Amino acid sequence: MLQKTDSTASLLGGEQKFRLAGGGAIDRGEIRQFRFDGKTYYGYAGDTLASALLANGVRLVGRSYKYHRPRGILTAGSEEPNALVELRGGDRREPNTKATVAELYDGLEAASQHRFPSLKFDLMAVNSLLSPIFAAGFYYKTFMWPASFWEKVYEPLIRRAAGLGRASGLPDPDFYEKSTAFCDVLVIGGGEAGIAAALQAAGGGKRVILCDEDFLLGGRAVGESIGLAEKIAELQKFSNVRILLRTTVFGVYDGGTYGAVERVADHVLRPPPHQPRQRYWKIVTKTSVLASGATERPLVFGNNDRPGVMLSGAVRRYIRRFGVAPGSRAVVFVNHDEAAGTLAALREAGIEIAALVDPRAEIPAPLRQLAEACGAAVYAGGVVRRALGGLAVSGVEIVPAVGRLVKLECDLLVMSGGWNPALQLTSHLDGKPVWDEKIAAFVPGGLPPGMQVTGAAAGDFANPAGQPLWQVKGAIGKAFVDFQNDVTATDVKLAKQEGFSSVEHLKRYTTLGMATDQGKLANVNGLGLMAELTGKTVAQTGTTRFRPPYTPVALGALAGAHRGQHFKPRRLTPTHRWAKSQNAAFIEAGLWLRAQYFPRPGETDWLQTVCREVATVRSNVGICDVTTLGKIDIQGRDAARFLECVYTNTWENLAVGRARYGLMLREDGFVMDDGTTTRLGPAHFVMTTTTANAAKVFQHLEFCHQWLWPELDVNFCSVTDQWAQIAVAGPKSRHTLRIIVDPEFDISNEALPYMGAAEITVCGGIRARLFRLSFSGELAYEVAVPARYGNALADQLMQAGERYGICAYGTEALGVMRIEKGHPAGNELNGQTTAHDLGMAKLLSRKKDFIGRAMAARPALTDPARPSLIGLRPVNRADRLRAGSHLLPPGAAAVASNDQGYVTSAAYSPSLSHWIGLGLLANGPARHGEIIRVYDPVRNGDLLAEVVSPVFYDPEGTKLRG
Amino acid sequence: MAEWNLLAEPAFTLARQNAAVALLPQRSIAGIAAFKDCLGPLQDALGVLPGPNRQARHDDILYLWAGPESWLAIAEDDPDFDLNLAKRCSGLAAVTDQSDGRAILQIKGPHVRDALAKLLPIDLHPSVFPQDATALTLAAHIPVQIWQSAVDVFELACFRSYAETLYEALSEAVLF
Repeated sequence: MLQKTDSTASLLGGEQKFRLAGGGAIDRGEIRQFRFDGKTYYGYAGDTLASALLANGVRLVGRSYKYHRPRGILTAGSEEPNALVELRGGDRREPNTKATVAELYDGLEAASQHRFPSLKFDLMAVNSLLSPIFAAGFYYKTFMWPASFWEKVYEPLIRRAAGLGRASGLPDPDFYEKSTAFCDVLVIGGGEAGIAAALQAAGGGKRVILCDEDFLLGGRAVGESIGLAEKIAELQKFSNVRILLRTTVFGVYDGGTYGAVERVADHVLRPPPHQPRQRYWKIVTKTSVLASGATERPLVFGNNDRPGVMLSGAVRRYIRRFGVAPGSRAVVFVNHDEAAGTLAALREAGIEIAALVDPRAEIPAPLRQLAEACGAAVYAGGVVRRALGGLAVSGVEIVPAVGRLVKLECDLLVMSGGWNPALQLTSHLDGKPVWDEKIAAFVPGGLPPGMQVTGAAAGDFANPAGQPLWQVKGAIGKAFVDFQNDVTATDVKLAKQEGFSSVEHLKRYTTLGMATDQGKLANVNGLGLMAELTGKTVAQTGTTRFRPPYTPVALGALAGAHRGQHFKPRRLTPTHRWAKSQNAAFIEAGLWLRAQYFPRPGETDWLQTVCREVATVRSNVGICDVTTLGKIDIQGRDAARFLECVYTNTWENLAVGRARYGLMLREDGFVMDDGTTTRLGPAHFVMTTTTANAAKVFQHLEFCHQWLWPELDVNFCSVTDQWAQIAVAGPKSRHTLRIIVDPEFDISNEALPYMGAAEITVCGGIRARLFRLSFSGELAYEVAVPARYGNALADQLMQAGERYGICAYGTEALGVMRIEKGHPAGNELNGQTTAHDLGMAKLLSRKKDFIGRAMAARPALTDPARPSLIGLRPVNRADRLRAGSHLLPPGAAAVASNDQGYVTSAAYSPSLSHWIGLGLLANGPARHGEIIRVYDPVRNGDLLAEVVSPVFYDPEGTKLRG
Repeated sequence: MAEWNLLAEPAFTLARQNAAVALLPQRSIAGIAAFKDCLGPLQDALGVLPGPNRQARHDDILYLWAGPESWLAIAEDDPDFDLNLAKRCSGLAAVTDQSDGRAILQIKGPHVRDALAKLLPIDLHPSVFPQDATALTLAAHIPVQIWQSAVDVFELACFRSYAETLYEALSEAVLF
């Protein structure tokens, strides 16, 4: 007789018909209301969704993946393959949550998945009728003809029918966190073995971290073992122990690193303020103890997937830990002595036991006596060949050792085929599990460095299943091996028949073990069955590998704080604040935020703004922040010597106070980077690089110094951030600078000629450097001050230049002007171009060695037929050129074999009033004047252009030297 | 000429019951990189040269080991700091002004190590990161140098351009 539930729940209108009157590690004082498939139910704090559903008599919770068979709750843990529900709604909706793991909270909303229109009546169950077609491997044999149907017909249909669960499709409102933790001992699993290991390590003064995926410590001992609470209290007293509950250690990585996810707020309606939803822990430990326990094996017989068929250990847990009776009349089908504990629990819960069916011919006397004392019929040497019932178990068919078939009524079928140590983590670094014949289970073989295994995870079972039963012969109906992927014993036979009998082929051909439960209940049964079919031993058959994660991990947890704008850090220039005050539009350049253009009121689009900026610089003066280009301070007796090694051109003869353009090659002879390097003293240079390659060049210099020329006495220091650097360009640039450069410094054309440099002061004594360099082609300078003065300097320059009609200009105008001058930049220094390609062959010194010299001289790299730098001018001046377009001879077919090059950079030139481009064209420099086809199928561009010199503006360079 | 504040917000914020994050006032900073075979004379010239991953103070200057035969020297704001240091180290080391090349952020208070654990991948437990330790590492993808200026008071130096993004990351990390 079933013990009735307590009265409080019925006062609230909820009756938990299957809740036991007492017992369980639940708080009967804390009622939790929840909804499942639109109906309201009640449970208690300490329940999982599964235990609360069972307490309310809800057995049917889902439909299976392929055949849409009715499914119920099979286990009480994270190995659950069937009870997958959709939890929550709106932007927090998540599919495929295991009801056995979901902690019950007040207001929980859950829905069953994968059924239409309802759980009870699912139209897709028709798939079951077509099951001979949907057997394993059907993907390889169907949907092949006609070939054209695949993309438009089959694939969209399959896509709609396939899959399990629906993602919300909305942005995640929660945030996630990552943290790193260090310890001496990481204990994985907080059951009795784990707690013991943690106590021992803590007592020895070690830093201990104990993780358990559950929300209580104790594992299988919760509700069962008496001394548990004391041991936990003892553990909590240690200050050197950190206990992480709701935390799954999901992977083992190199260097003693473990990945874990803590479900910080999965068990509440929404995370409290400042709490992440989940936290990804990277745990670095000297040693670890794997105390992850063991997972029970199902038995393989007909309709073993009916709601009401449950694993024996799970039944015990529902009774003892959750105070729930999973049924009212049970048949127990178990092949080992753990059955005794289950019989005792069933009896305590007042559940009738109709029969004990044990495939072993001889069962121990105490077990038999216990069964008989429970009023159960005992069938030693018998098997259950089929579970009866549609939406739920209603009875069983037992084949006894002798005699005729027996039919018994029951609403709960308790099964167990033994235990498998949860050893997945031991094989993440390629350790191979080893078959232990005595306990008929795989035990850990090779272990990751520093790991020990203890308890059931090591195969330490009180009652091992010595005689495995891989399948019930003569089973009628589908006998499931992998519940989640709907793989049956017949599919395993089919795989063998088709020649896919190795375990790796078995897995992939049948998809056994490939669902979100990663075959925790399926793998061993599958390969045990295959061993039987092929006449091999299980040891000979082997097992597949396990890879992280042990259970699914949300990508959000791994991303942590690095989402959206925080995906990568942001670097701000020293003039950022000032640029914002000038209404700049910004653009990302790597990690930097740079001012792109400065729209003025009344300007309607960026092109208008950029054209104004270019025109103003070329007729008056403009300023632009160029801080982001890498700046490297180089000091030492051998500084000049070192520059000779890394640059293609000459440096020893550079005078103090002069700058020079430098080209840097990779060892394979391709251009790596360029910049201007200035000599500030006999043993002191400052090198500039492109923005994108700043770190790469620094690394290159360090590598060259440490490995190639360690005898040279030279040091490098990055000063990109130390100096704010602003370009001042245009005919009025010197006039403007004169106002801010302190009077004692002569910056006339004679005192500071083109490519000159000086250390000066500005604005009444502020330390500064002035370089006469021009990227724009105008009379121009770059002025550098310590970065704290960046904003103020920009402000001062604008004030000084106001009378000259100064404007600020950004990266767009900077780009337009350098294209007008034919200066190669990032688009041309793309890692595939050589000095010859870019028209810089003269910069390759013949008098000295330098990085890349030999490889750059390879005939293929100096062949003029290589795509080389040219300019492009559209024949029809109104046409727009686009970078990325390809260059073809006019009239030739637009195919790859006719491709002669491509457009690298394009811009509208306000100086010439039409679009211009730079490109790489086979034999380019010899083809000036030719008409070429510019072809852009992606953006429907097709026009003719004239091949011209890349220097469109001031080709004599007169403006530079004024 | 005025200096514009490095960060938009006032320096001390977010001092709830959690740790507090602050941008420290301007200091003088210089990079020191020894020339070949000059370690002995350099140590004599400066008075102290901490070994790998160590810090040391001498004559009101804090020296942080910053790489093989490299250090960062930090002192109170003094416009001639790098020039004076360069004179003392003349011929012995490359001295480079980094007063503007770095921003220094301070974090201290309850759960400071738990907050830092969200950003840094290194062990800051006192048994492993003692009072005189320093480390070059990353804080949420930002290269930083970390050390303690007092017991449980940490300072992080980053390239100046990262100051705001590091301040944001630290400010979020202290929230529990």
